[in-house]
Amino acid sequence: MPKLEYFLISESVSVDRETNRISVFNVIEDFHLTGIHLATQQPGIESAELPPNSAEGKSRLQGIISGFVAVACFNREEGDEGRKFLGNLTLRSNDTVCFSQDMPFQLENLRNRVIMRFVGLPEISAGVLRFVFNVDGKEAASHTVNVF
Amino acid sequence: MNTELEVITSDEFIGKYASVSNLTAVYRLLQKSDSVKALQSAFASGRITEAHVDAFTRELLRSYKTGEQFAYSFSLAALAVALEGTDVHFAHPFLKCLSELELAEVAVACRIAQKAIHARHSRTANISRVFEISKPVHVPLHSAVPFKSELVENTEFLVSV
Repeated sequence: MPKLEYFLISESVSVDRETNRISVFNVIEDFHLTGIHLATQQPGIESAELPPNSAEGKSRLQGIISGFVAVACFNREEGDEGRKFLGNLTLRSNDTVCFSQDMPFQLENLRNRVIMRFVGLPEISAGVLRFVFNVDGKEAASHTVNVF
Repeated sequence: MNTELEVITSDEFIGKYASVSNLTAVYRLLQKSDSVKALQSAFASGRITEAHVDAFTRELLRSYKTGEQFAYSFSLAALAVALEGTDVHFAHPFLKCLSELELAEVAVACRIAQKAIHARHSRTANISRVFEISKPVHVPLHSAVPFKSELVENTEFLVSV
């Protein structure tokens, strides 16, 4: 079974083509649901009601993201070579599954990064949002985010 | 000298690779070699330390002669391949020094060390995929945001962001 090194949810990641080093940008630690809701569920709302220069407007705008990236890094253990693993990212909003995505992978090298990029966001509600990464049905890692 | 290090200096070991003219083939053969794997285990367990490697290379280089093919070039190449797959602290400095040598006598070892450094950089595999969530968020980026210009007083603009 592969050994997890780290698991993070961020807004974006970048892998340097020359050095193969990874940079993780804007690790997601909280969501501002009001900002998302104002922007998505009430499209008719006038921007004048959400002045971008006000403190309130800024905090709301910080919550608006268009997607996220899940990065899990695994070290290959003995017997993992050539084996196929089923990765799965599940989002639990207050212990209710709101999204799930499978991603099969094989550990080609000693160290392997599994990078899942998501465009868009699932429906979430205020409270605690858990990003759970499972390998072959077993929880390998999780990342908890507060939703305001 | 450690048994694992002694093996890679033997005539039998060197003879296996001396007849292979393709450097990539030498590199791949060394990667599959049991002697190299034994070296890697010895590095991982700490049986071979930096001091051992230092003493070993010094000993080998005593037979170095300018203008003559270095007899233990394949031994150094094997050491480079063994260090490539290990996390010992002296692996990178050793490989870097060896790869930067501009000596025709040890050309095989230098070029194998260059390959090893390249392989170390790409040791981490990236398995990446993009998924689209069926109900994406539509942020009204095109909505008009009125604000006052700070440069021109009493003038208002409508700016599309």
